[in-house]
Amino acid sequence: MAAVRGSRLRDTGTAAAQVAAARRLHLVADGAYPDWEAVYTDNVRRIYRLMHAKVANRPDAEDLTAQVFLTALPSLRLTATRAEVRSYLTATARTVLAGHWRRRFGLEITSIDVAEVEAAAVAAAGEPAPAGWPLLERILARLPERYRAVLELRFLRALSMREVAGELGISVSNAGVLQHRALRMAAELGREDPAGGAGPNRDDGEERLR
Amino acid sequence: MNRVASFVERVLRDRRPRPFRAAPDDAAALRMAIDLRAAAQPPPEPSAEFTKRLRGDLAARLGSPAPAARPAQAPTPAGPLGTRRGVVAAAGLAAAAGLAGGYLARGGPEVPVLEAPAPGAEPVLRPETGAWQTVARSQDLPEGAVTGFDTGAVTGFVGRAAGRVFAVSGVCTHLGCKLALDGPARELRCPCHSASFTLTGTVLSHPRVGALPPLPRIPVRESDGAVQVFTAVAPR
Repeated sequence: MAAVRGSRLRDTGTAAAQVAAARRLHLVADGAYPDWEAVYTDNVRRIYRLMHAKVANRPDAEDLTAQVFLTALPSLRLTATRAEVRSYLTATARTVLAGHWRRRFGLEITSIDVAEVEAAAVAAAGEPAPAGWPLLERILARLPERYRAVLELRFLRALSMREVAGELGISVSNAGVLQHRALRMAAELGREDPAGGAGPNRDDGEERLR
Repeated sequence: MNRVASFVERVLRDRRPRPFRAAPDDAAALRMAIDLRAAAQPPPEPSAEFTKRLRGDLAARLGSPAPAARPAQAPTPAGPLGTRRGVVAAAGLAAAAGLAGGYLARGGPEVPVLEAPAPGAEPVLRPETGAWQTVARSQDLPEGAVTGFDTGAVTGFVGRAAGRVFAVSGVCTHLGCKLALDGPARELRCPCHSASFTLTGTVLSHPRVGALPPLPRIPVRESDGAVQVFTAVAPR
């Protein structure tokens, strides 16, 4: 098999093979991507996870990921280093996410902090920052007990409103009111918590809320 | 409050939340719900189906990766384009890579090229009888520019990207409102239900659950310094 491939390379001679070889060398030299597909393969998982952490549902995360690549790749310079390409994709993701929220909800619900994502990427070799569960737990711990209970049952144990109502011995509509108040209060606590707030989406929350 | 509850419900079922005009207090609650949801589950993997579909879309738009490095893979439209119909039907998302079809006049301004539409690509608004009608001067449409036009029968937008002219319908595929050009954002926006499209017609956001078709393309060419679209002639 190797022999076959070798002889074909010798036969064709060839500019193409030389270019391919040169590209590989080039790749080693400055850490650039050889083609858009390599950019895509190397980044699609990271961008998808980043978006999913910001919208928390698959359909939106897929659409927004698609938008990032469809927007960014046509104008991408492949001479850029991998780190530059990664920053560019993250910056595009930030813009795409901001547009998504503004169009659908009138203001930005969550945002991407490019510097923070970059720092996390350096620390964890390309993975987005881990979700801030310890911080959220601290906020939950400061909620009145029934508020905390409704959020834990809903988000951690993934119970339906009906099941939550059954668990807490209240009506479904009261459970709804409880959930709403709990989210509002948790958001308040997150805003007040100077040490970290409500996890990765908290930054510049106050700005957005003006 | 019902809208926040509905948002939470949709997110917990991994569905797309329905849009509404959120007040700042709502936003804080929605953000908390997203943080809780994201933190409570392990980081998800993109589905293989999704990454494959998007790769096909990108290939349709960008061509085969680096042909010089991969001489065995001459750019052939069959592969990526073959997947497009399924993509558009299934997702209706930006998927429909706006630049992929045959509506671009390739090469210099003197070369009016009109290719047959690729199978499964965006629909082309091609009248049974019509005429090439000048909608702009080439010199008034530099790289990156976009401008609206109205031939009487058809309204739309023409622009130039990567040296090529393109033209799309200016009527929203949702319920038919006239789209407005948002120049800074490089988007076409519908004033009625906040749908939006890329300048080449790909759906960016849509107001209802389910797919919205991309904007139909309009045949366009450059001839003797004039940008022309092929549309029906308005009855007088």
